[in-house]
Amino acid sequence: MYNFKNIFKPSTLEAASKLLLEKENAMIIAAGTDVLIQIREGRLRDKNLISIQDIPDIHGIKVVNGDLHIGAFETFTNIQFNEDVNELIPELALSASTVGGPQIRNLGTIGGNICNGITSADTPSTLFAHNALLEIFGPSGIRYHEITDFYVRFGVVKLEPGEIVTRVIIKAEEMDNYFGHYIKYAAREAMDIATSGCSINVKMNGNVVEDIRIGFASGGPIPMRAYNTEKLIKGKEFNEALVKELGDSCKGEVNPHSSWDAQRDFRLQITHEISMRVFKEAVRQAGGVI
Amino acid sequence: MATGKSYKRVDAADKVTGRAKYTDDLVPVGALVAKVLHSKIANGLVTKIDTEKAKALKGVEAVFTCFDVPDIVFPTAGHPWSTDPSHQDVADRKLLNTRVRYYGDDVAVVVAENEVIADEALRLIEVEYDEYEPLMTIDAAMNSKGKPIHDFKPNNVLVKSNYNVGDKTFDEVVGEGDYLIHEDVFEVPTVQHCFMENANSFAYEENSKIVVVSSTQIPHICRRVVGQALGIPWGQVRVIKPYIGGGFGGKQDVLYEPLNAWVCKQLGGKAVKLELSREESFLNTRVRHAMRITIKSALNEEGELIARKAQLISDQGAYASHGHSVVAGAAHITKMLYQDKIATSVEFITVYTNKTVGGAMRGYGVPQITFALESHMDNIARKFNFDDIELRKKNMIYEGFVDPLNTIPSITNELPACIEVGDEYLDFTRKHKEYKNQTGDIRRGVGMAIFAYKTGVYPISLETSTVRVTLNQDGSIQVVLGATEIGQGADTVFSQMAAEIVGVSMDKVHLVSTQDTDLTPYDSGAYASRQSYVSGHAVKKASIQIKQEILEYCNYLTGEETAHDVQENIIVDINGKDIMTLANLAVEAQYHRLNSKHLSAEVTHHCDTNTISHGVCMAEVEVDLKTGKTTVLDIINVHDSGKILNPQLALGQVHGGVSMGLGYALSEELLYDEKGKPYNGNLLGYKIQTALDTPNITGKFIEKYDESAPFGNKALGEPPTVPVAPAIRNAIVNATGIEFNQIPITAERVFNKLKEIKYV
Repeated sequence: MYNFKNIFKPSTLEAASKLLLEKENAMIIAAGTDVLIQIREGRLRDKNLISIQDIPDIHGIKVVNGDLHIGAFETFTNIQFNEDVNELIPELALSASTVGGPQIRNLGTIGGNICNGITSADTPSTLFAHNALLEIFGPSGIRYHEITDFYVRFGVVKLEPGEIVTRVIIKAEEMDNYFGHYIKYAAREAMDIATSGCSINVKMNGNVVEDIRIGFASGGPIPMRAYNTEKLIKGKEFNEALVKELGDSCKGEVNPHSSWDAQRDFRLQITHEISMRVFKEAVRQAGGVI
Repeated sequence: MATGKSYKRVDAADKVTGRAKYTDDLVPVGALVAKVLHSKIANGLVTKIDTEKAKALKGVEAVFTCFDVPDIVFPTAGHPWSTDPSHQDVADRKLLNTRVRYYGDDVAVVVAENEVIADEALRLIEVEYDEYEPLMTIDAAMNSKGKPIHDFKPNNVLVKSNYNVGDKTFDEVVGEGDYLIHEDVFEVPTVQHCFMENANSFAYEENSKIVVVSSTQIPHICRRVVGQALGIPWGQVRVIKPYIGGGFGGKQDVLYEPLNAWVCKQLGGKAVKLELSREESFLNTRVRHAMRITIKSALNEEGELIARKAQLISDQGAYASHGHSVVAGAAHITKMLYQDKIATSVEFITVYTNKTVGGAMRGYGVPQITFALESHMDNIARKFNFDDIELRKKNMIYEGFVDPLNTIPSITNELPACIEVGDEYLDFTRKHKEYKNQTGDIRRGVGMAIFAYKTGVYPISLETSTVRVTLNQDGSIQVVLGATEIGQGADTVFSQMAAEIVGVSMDKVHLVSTQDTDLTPYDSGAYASRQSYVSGHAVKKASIQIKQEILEYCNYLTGEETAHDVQENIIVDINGKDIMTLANLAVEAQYHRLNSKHLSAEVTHHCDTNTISHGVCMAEVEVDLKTGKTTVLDIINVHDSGKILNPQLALGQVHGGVSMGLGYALSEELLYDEKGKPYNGNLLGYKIQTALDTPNITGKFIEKYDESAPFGNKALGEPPTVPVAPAIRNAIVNATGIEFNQIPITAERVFNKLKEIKYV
């Protein structure tokens, strides 16, 4: 049994937005894989839950003029096995496949993974590394927000009252000729949270790194890009020394915390190591000579 | 022969279709819900509890606090009762406690219409405490100058004991000769069973008795403890045990059944359910004891152990539960697994701390000591350049060994053959040499560990079991026993035993899985890897007796003395010729106008034997030195458990035991902050291994009939988990060349060691 005041199931975005504004103590519930846990733990109580699962606009994965549109309610499983995702941005399918276990992936949504504002979430680092846009519906209509600017602090994102993330859009130019990889490092191979997660994609010109974008999960209080490292690496010839340079620079750019399950120096070591491994794999996929 | 074959579990269909009824499936409609208020401090005294707001909440039936409960302290351990007061379990807790001894201690209970209201009521209770400093380590507890955790143990030491084998002590031996000396200190963590079904029960009154339905391994013991805790005659308590979703020793303890029963009685016998959450199962049931184990050995140049000295300090946590018996179980293995030429000197101490209560968990102290003994042997072999297998073979338990202190014998001993089979499977000897002195970031290693484990608890504790076998009118048999199915397959194996002895096919054996203390005869329950040995004897005896009655009745019917045996449901003569079907005999016996007999046999077996089972684990690992992560590539357990009763079920025990051992070696550990609050008392933070973390597990058996056993069988329930952690640890040492004397060997622990030597 769960403690909540009421649950509403609107079928349009307009109705959902209105309920969010009108109902006292209202919040969105998507699959509930996070919200229900928080209710069970007593962190959320007496909520008016606004379920968005019956709203058609937030479902579906499609390619529009080369851009990839992913409905916010699409599950990790759907993303993991979607043909377009696997063709255009396979590391997103890979990162979706690392979430929890099959039961969570069958229910949990990409919109929820973004909006709960957690740094260790598995898909945002890859979305950061592809400059994804969030389509947001609200009382004043539709707006677009870059995911790289969406996070405020732990658990808080830039959503105004009555707003709902409806779609994640990855532009064609952010995917064309980019090759990427993702590694999640956690204590277990399943049912776990990233100690550190790294998503890197590169565009190669021969063996020169023409462009690179680096996203991190658990690199700090919110998902992040390693912009300084990107600048450092861009335009350089790929070789072992460059891999080390990337690893060292990433280690300096992230700012993980110490906690009972992993001290800062261990997290830094993992960041250092997996960033180099991800970089190598991305370059290999892009046809670089290892 | 029905034993020895892989019959399908008798409960398989019900379990896979969801028909099998567990405690929560049986809760009466309209039952009230009880929830316990747990302390938010680890050490202190409740000075005041304000329950007014909680009581005023709509839907709250009652609130009881630690000031309301009877002034009775009771023991909780799932041991058979001892009529000798000096051997009784320590009684050190009340139903609810004013003196708070761990973070989460029980201070009040709410009864409400449903869980949500009960949770809300818990929030509304205000508790005031006098707070004392939490004693979170054995050192802090032993050195504390503050208030003792229990007044009757002023220095927080529950018990301190020792034994010495040989005419001299270790120190005397070492003073007299020139020996190779090596000493190690090992640390093993607090871990939890993580049984799939959380502890839960419900209680109601019927016919002036209190009935408790509970997920327990020990229904008859539970009845006794409920009686003791409530101060009522034991016969006024009835405990029913339906199917249970795992126990592993965690439910070999009486948990919340007494509180559940007491609350029910306060409410005039209304049905009340008390179900723990997963977090409560971690914090408020039992854990495996953390221990610090120091071992010092003296060897001669040939690698023979001349003398050893060990000290084991066990972290009991807040209440005695199984108490000192667990570390005693561990201590006694020291002289059982290996024998010293001259002296073995062992001291063992159990210390109260403000941590989660230590109790029984698969292996009962033996996983802890085996980790220490087998890691120590590995360190000795490396330091003095002995061959791992040869060093063990020179010193290990041999056939004919009789424990000098508790007289438990190694009647049959296939340990050498087990090691040979493991060595061949893993190519251990070759790889162990090859993997020494590797370079590179990814390294491989192999490791091994042996073990010895007794079967049941005789002569340390009472071993007794009763079984009733009844002939049904259709020639099938009914087997009723107090021994419990807890997922291990006991019902199936008991059915096989009865089928074999009586002479009926498996489909003619009916066994009621539920134990009900008003209906089923006494058995102490599922623990100590005892049931197929101890209760198996009782099944065998009752089956022999009813067969005798069947044959006698057959002779009565035929007027001849020809009935010789029952084979495949038919009574035959000495030449194997059919006399009559059992079905015909059964219906005649039941309804005979002149000599109606309800054929039935009820037999108690008081077990006065024990036997040691043995085995080896060998593992191959790969260690990533840059991330610290260990991957187990291959692992094999080879067991000498006597004759195997059901190979498929036996393999299931091996898979489960090895899986628990993997977590013990690599990832599981309950951690606490300085205030005594657990960091990770849940299935996310506590890293039990998942399917994806688990390698292919191989199990093999070297079978030799043990004459002391009912079917040649020896312990197998607990043993598979015992040698796994040291085997993996030794493999990691083989791979990295770095000694790890503390488990779990997490990636971070590997990283920290590599940082020390400046590898990373």
